[in-house]
Amino acid sequence: MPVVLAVWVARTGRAPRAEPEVPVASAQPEDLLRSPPAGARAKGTVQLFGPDELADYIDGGAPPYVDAGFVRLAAAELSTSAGHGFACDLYDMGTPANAESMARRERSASLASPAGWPEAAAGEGALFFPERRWYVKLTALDPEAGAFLETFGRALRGRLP
Amino acid sequence: MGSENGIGRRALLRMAGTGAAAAATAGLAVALSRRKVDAAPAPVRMRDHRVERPSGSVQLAVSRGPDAAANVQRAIAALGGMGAFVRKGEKVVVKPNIGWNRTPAQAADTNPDVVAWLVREAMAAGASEVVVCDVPVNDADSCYERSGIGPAARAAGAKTITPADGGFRDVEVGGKVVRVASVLAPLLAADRIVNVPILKHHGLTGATMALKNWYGILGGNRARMHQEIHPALVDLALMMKPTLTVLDATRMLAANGPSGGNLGDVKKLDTIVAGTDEIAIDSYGAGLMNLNASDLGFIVQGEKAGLGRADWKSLKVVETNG
Repeated sequence: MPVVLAVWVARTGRAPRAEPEVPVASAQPEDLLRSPPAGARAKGTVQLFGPDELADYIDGGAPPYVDAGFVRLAAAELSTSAGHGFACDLYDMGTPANAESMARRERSASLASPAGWPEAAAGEGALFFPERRWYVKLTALDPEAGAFLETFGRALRGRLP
Repeated sequence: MGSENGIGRRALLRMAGTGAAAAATAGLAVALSRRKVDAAPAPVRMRDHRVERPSGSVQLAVSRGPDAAANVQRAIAALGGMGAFVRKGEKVVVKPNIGWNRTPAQAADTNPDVVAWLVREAMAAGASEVVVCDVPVNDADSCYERSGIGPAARAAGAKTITPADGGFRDVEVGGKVVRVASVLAPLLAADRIVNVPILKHHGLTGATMALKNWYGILGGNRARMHQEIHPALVDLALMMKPTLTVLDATRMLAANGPSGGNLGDVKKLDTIVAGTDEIAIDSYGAGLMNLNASDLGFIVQGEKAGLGRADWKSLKVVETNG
């Protein structure tokens, strides 16, 4: 049994559920992508990029991130329960200010905030938001996944370490 | 901290992460190659893929209309037809932008209908083989399929080759900042090369069009080029000398390029720009993005290097509407 779950059992005296969700405080971003919330499924491998490798994932999009204090990216393709793919990119920007800075930079006029979530920017097939030191980008890879992004994003934000 | 692109030097140096790349920033040439000096064959040279054009030929063709394939058809017809560029028995490589795991609607990759039309016409002109290839940023198989280019190109009669299948060869570039490059091998076997970029925003270069599309033939640590991106693109274009260039502006990713993802950043332009002068084509494309060609380093430096003319209005231009 993983150490985190063993500690959880010891403290609560309860056995974990059959498919335990990743505990909030201990999750690494790659764990969230391997065991995603809100009924999403992991579809491919989790890719990790540091500042020296970020261009391998976003090419010429990398320098502004690195300049803004980018620390590490965990990225994976996930799918809805119906099998529609979407990309989940978790950028660790080091500080909340850095994450908010990147979110502002990439906020297009075409994007609007979902109800009750002014920091987030949603468009057709895309949802971007800063959450503490994280800048999260969700992109529908199959058009049908677009409607799921807000549900997933809301579930994800509370689980980020 | 800032540069002319709004990109800090710190970012570029951190991205590069090698002493050689730092040297490149200081103006020294670099080798974009994975080759070990004593183990690999000597670099080869890229051949010149251009064809001689009759005097008085149309030099730039622009076509607009709701049907992407029909737009390419009219543009190529204005240039003399595919038979003016591809002859019987020749091997043709079509090089779109297939860099991203994105759908056609997201406009990060070349429109598959444009690629398919070019494949069909090259075959109809007598090509012995048409290969469609690129070096994607994201997973190659995903990019080829989700972009629609793989299925469309194969249905049109092309062979699609990923980097894993095609491999790379070291090529002598001999440029100001790129001396040797690791280049997708199928390009070296081609008699004719058709460059088919998509028009879109690019965070580092402002825009990506014909010249920037040559970045997508490279293997190795190509991100090192970011430090000297404009002269490096000119070096690559001087090496490539394609037969024909077709700029796909069917949909334009207007912001957050090169990867995009938000459909709200995509504008429908329903335009194709074709010709043999890559600088003129990129200059025309800059106008479509409401950019000044004189603000884009690769256009300014490319013109100075003799790659073409930014003043596309001085060329013989045909514009059609469908």
